[in-house]
Amino acid sequence: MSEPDALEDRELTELLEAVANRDVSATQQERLAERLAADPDARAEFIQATAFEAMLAYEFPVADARVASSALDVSDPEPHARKWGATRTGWFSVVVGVVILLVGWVAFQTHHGTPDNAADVVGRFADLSDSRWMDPATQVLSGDAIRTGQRIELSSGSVEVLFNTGARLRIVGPTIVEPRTDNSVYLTLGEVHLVAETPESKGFTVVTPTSKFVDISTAFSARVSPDGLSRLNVSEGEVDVVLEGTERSPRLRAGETLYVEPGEGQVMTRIEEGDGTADFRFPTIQPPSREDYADQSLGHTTIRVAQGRLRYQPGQSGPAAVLLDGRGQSQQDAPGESAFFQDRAYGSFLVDLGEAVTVSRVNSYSWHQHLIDPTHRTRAQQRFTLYGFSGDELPDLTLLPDESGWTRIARVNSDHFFKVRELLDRPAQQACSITSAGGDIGRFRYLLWEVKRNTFFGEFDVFVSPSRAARSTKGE
Amino acid sequence: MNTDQNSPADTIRQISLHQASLLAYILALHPDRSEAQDILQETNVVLWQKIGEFRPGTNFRAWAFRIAYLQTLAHFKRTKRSHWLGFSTELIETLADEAEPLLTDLEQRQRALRHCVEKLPAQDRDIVRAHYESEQPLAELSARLGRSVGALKQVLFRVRRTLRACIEIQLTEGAGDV
Repeated sequence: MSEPDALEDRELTELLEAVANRDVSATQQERLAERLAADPDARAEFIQATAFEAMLAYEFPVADARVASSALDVSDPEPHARKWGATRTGWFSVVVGVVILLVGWVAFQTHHGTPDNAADVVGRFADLSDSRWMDPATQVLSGDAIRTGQRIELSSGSVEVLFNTGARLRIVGPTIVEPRTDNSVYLTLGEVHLVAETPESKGFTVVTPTSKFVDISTAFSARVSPDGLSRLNVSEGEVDVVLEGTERSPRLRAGETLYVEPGEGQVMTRIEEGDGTADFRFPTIQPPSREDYADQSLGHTTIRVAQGRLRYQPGQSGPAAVLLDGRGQSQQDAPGESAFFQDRAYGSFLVDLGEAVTVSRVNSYSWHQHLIDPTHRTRAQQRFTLYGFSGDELPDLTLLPDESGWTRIARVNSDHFFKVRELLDRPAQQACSITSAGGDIGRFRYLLWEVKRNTFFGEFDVFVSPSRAARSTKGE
Repeated sequence: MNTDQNSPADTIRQISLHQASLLAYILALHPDRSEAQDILQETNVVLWQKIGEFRPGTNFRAWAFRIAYLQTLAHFKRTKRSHWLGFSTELIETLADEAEPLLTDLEQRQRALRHCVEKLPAQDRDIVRAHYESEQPLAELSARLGRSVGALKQVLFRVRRTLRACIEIQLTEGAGDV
């Protein structure tokens, strides 16, 4: 059910709109039937449009007694959609009830497992906004003390904690966080926002399951997803990212965001907005390169579509090979210079590096903005999962990568990254750079981009460790 | 009629769960909202009557879609009318085959739509509500709302486009991949 876009088929759009408005002329009827009989894409779009109409019809049921006479319960005078909702609500209530009981039990166990007065007061609750707690018995008032080791389990709303050092930590539910010292917390799950403006609060540390975020000055946000993925967003000043087992500490500056995957690979994902020109300039990520290991000019690497098919009409995608040609698109809406899948029929790109090499960085670039409608940038979003495989014998590509021997390297969703809520929130030109705090992402022969959007990708760059790259340029 | 495996509660739950998908499927075959609602009601009756023929463990949705398809054809026969858009039986059959795999996440989309509708400006929401709840022809609705038919079409086009974009964003937000 994709939104109309730069490549939209205007005739089909008009025909579908006429159907939705029940305002179809005889000529339009004939033309629609012709189009649908001849074109599978038109049929898919027609089905999606009618499904959307069905949802609207469900949302706004006809104010008419005829619709109320549902076969499920003819005695019920409620409109059909309400009846459906009520049935669903009944079952949903049971599930919610069970979940509440479970959460309450876990919270009870956790709360009663924590020794009272285990440590010193490190701060106080300063502000509570619509706060609800995982343990309904929890009662917190502004000014209440917080001690080290005290788990704060916020179900919804937000609370602010004022540390003795002057650091202010806003906790947004659902979150589980625990002060470790008077200037650090352990974030198990959820989201916190830190402002550390006093000298004493410098160095405030948020520890997550994958990393430590150490404040250098002022403000940052940290988020831990249920699957262990950590996110750091620096709004002011600088923050060091400390990862276990490595001495390298990437430093993020204001406006920068980083994801850290769980696991030993210490994979980090950085996504940035470009300058919207054919130069593809980004704040820290380099433009598309002709000097990466996978560039077609070096002859090491091939690329093909592993699953799905590239869009062929209207607005035909370029071949997958455009992703290794060392450049992005020349303009904002250039389907022939992009590689992209059919709407809602996503797929995967397979890169064969020729032999197993040590991959240190993988960059991907996208660019899309409608020539007339500046709000329409749907195909700029990058949403994919990157996998690697080191063996020579390729796994069965019809199986799920997670179940067929591939190593999941990173998950990317740039709309989440940019917090897209309105159409203009989504940058038209984007770059994603996947690296590892340890220096190398891993040793792989194959890379698989499992793509979940019809993104206008312009380039994939794969960099290998310097020693391997040096050997390759000498003709090895 | 109902076996032990298909208790009345289970049957109601199964049928209820698939109402949105069934309506979408029927609309794909016969995009007339009013008649599609009728066909859905008829389909529900048949599902209820024939639940004993459904084999537990097989795909209820696919079974229900097949019955909806047959009921749509039966509707044309019974009303002695052809498809209002002039679709041939072959085209309806093709659409029936192709619609099933495309209508997989309507529950999620319906939830997202509800949220998106709430975010519409009140004036737009009122127009959409009037259009869908009254099912009046655009000419009548435009007279009632004091707008030209062209202006009404523009509003509906813009709102549909906005809602579809909003649904995609909502689904992305809730996808939980990152």
